[in-house]
Amino acid sequence: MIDVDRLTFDYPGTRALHGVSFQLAPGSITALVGPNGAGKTTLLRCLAALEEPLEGAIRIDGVDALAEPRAAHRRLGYLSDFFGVYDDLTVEQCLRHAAALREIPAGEERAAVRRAADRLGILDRLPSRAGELSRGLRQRLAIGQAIVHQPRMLLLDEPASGLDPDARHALAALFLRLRNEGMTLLVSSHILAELDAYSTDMLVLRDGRVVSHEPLAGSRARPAGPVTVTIELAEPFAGVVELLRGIEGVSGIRVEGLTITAEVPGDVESRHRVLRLLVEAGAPVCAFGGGRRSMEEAYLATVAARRGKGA
Amino acid sequence: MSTNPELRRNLWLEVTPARLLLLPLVLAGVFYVAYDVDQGRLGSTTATVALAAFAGLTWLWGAHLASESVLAELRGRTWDWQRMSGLGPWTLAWGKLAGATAIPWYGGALCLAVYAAAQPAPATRKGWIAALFVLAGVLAQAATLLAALYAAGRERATPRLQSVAYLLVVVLGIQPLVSLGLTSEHLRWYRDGVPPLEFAVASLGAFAVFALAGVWVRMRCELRVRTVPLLWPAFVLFAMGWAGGFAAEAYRAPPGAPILVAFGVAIALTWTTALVERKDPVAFRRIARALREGRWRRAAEDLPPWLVVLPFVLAGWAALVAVPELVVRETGRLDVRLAATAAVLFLLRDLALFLYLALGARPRRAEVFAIVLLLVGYVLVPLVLSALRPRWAAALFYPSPDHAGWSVAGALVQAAIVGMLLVRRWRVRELAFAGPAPLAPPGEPGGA
Repeated sequence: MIDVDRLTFDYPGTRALHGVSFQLAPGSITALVGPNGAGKTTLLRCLAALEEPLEGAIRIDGVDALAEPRAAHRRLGYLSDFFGVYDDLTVEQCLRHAAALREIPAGEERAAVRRAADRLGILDRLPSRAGELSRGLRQRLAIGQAIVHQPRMLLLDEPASGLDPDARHALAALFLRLRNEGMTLLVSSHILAELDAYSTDMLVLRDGRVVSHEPLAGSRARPAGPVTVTIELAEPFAGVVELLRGIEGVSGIRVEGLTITAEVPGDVESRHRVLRLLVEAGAPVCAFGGGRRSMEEAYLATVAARRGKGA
Repeated sequence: MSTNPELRRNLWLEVTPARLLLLPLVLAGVFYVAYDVDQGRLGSTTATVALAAFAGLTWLWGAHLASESVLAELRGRTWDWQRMSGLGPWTLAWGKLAGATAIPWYGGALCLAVYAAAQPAPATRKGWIAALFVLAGVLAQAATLLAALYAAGRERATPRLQSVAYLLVVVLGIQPLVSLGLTSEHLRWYRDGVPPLEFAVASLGAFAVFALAGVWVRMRCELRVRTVPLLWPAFVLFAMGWAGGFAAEAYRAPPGAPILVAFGVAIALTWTTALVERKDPVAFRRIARALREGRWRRAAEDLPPWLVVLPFVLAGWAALVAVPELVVRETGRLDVRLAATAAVLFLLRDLALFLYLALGARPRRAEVFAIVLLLVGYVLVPLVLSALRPRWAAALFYPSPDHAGWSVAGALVQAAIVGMLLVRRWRVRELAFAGPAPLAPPGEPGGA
């Protein structure tokens, strides 16, 4: 969906991106993380074909974004970190204007507006002035404007900034819904717990360089490496260790009383298979958990590994 | 309702029933007072007030709204989103220009109707005067929108008072042309007598077309449509030719006087462009890369406008050096060759200074610092040296026609020093940017 090759971007006096390369798979939600000044916003603006890098290549859905930025714009939705909406227009006018700017034919404008408003849960706000909306609703309106033309790719820079927990939860649900509808998302955020709720992949930037780009363990998107699961038994069950050893892909089994930990393949299907075989064998399983390293753990592990390499 | 979404959005915002009703009421009150001064009839006072109201509405308010149509987007953080729209550059430009200024033009049309009814002049003259004011309005609005688009290209945030500054500059530029058309009885342009009113209308029309074309070109740049900078050199050539025609007005002007004026215009526009244009070192790096790779068109697209028009300065200098007798009758008193050479060398020194400061650690302050340095160099130092004597010493720091030789010597040394500093700073920066090689992407050998 997105193919970035050795992207270099300079500001006067400083280099913001140093030969950044990565690919994003269709249907993924990639969390773009990194410390302040890592180059996240610059990278997103280059991907949105708003800035011209010094060198490198960006292909978005097969389109060369540097040679044909206008064609790339048609395939993209972008929400910047400090977004704005037209406060004096109604929500419906904002969305109609967005639809018209994105070349939706006049006859289909109202349908596109209703579809976007419905997706964002702001149908009842269509007559309200944008300036009267809460921050959460403004955020939804801005995302509505970005997706009104149903782009294949959505880029979001700090979308949850300043939102209350309810609004964040709704945003996470929205992103998952968009992804299920076939959209590919790249989301930059400082709030790792929020990204954890919906991301399938993590792209870590540091000092303008890609430190790591990997699928998150437990993601449905693609197979991942092994993860640790914890199994709790209601009562002792003879032969449980042998049973686990006999399951393909299971290793590192440790038993402490009624609690067993084991390394199992990271994909959800494998974990489901382990649980099903245990239950079918009559093991009195009362809890089966873990298996998904949190985004924060993954990020910190990446940063620590990077420091280790640097040292 | 409209095929231009940007026009529609602006009309949603600007054209409200309250404004449509209130503006005619206010104008009616103003015209009633003038009508009363005209002793209860439509007379010249009412006509003058109508023209003044038209100017206030379209030149001032309209121009302010035209620039705000972009500046407000920058402040409201909606500009990036507009830049990603599917609209063409001209569609977006005229949608802003016509939509944001709809109410001033609505009021302006009422004013022109009152003017036509009140002015006791032949219909033809009234038509020319109306055209003069309308074109001045178009020029004012297009010029302020153009300035706002330049601001968008330079900085992504602008202060609220920026449009007021544009207004001052534009109105100060337009007013003399309008006065020329209204008050002059005779005008000589390239030795021919031309009707002042018609000449002013034609001039304003030409400047308005250039301003509109400039808006289109800047909008193309904002929408990331690659453009070879041809409009600016075309405008500079036009301005050189247009201003050169006025040299014939001077008493006993020599036949080549227009060349001297055109040379001065080329220097002034090159200097001003170099000062106000964004001097982006990254663009220079991009040009260097494109030239190395033989991508000539790509290199041309990134050329800074001042560099594109610099050949006109050099052409003017060559003409003056080749045939100085065309320009001055008493060549013994003024050495045209040396004076022109000094002017070019001082221009080159200043261009090098602008670039040197732009490559510094604080490029945002480069322009202000450059102005301070130039004020010191062109004004303070010569004044001090003039006071100290000998007088020729002051000529080392500005292009003095009386001591042109000393000016050439001073400019040459200063241009060489600043040029060397510039080259050194550029090399240091390029070494700093050479930096370590990028990391290989994850999954590749050596990747993270």
